[in-house]
Amino acid sequence: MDKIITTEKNQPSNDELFSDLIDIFKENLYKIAFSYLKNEQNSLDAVSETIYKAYKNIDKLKRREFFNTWIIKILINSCKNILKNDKVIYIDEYDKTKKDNSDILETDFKLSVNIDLYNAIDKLNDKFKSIIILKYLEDMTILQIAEVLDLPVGTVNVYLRRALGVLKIELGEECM
Amino acid sequence: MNSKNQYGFEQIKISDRLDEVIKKAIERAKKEKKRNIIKLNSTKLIESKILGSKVKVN
Repeated sequence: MDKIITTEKNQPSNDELFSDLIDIFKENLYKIAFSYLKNEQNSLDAVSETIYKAYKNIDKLKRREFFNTWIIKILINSCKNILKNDKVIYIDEYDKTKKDNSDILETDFKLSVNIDLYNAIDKLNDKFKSIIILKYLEDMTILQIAEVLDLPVGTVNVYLRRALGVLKIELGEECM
Repeated sequence: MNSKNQYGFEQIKISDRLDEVIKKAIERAKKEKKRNIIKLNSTKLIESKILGSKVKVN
């Protein structure tokens, strides 16, 4: 009985667990925010808002293993809100790209090592930018991206292909 | 993330203020959560008192 009490006492509280999880993901969260917003203060605001919302709604997260995708989802929405408030306008290159192909493999999206996506993504609109950041900064699979952005897998494939099409135009075919 | 393919994202420097901002955000959320619990409990208490008084009248 004593042993059980000791074990329970040693278990971290929900607050401690939350802090530990944030500690693991904080740098990634900041990097994603910065890739989006390219500004220290705005990125810190986005991370702050994300953590505030995540703490308040942590009871809604049913499975702890989904914490990463769940919090990134909150972060991306926070970044979008900040961009909206700042009225930053990006050119939608939707129409400039080639026809889409629905039979796409993950390996089709492998890029050359030295490509500077970090600077190139500023040319993309929000939805394309989110997908590129999650794919090439977070190294997420198409399925995970679809989960974070609440989009069908097919749509993510199509958007990713279009985004890469835009980047090809921006960076030159030989860079991709 | 694959350390070979960083695609330029390695240029992002983590802000020195990140830890401070995170700490403040958690504190703000804790306060807000506490405030909501107090609000909810006091509403429940008032409602139960009102209900109790109605029962007595009937």
